[in-house]
Amino acid sequence: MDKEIFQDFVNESEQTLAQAKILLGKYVASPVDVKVLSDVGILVDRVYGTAATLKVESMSALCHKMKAISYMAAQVDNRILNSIVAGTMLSVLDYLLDLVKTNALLTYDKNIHSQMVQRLDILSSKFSSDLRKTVAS
Amino acid sequence: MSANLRILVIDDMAVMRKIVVKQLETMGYKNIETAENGKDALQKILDGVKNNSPVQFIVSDWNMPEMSGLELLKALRSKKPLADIPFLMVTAEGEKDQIMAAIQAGVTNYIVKPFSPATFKEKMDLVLKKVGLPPTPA
Ligand SMILES: [Mg+2]
Repeated sequence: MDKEIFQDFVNESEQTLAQAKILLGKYVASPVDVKVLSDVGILVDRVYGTAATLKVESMSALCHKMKAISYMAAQVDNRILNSIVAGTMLSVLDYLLDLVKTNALLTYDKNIHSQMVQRLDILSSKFSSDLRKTVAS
Repeated sequence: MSANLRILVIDDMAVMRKIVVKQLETMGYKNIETAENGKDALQKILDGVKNNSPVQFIVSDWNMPEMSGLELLKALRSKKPLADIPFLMVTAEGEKDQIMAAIQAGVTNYIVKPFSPATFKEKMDLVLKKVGLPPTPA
């Protein structure tokens, strides 16, 4: 992979995911505006598309799932479920930002990664199957 | 002539714009501009008409803040001088509903992320052929 492009990707992902964290923090502090969640969806989708293109699987798999979950959460406005969504996504974002900071995006621990995948899959299954179809999750 | 085709690449992720531009340069294109969302793109398209250097081909992401790729497509297709610009939409996944909406809005073709440089070139050639322009130069 082109080194310069990869470094650009790392920097821009870090900024974008940090922005998503700020938005989720706002939502947790005041869970009234579900539009915040679809804005989070746009941010993680942005990282997903590029991560998938560059085959950075640690990042693409989790961002893909978070994208679907945030769009679903923005549509249901169920505060209890959405607070679990926000909490789980915050910890997945922390995990990804940690991979960025420790330069471990390509050498990540597969076990921890699959635990994160599982947590998001469980969360995703809490939404109705009709809704899951609309986001192809 | 075909190397000078004026191409506008639109994506809200800067590194994705860079990847697409690099791939287009590898295909031999030299006249490439970028925009970070539909709104920014629309302004650049209108400026191009005013300055006599019209955008001749659009490669646009779907999901973007301010104005999405679909909103941009709809805005263009309703404006007479801009309605015929070839439009290749980049979507993040092969969602049938999304693709149907883009087709109804008049997209020329679409490509699903992640894509390889070879697939991108193939799609470019398909669109160019469909609108009667010469194939990718290199
Ligand atoms: Mg995007």
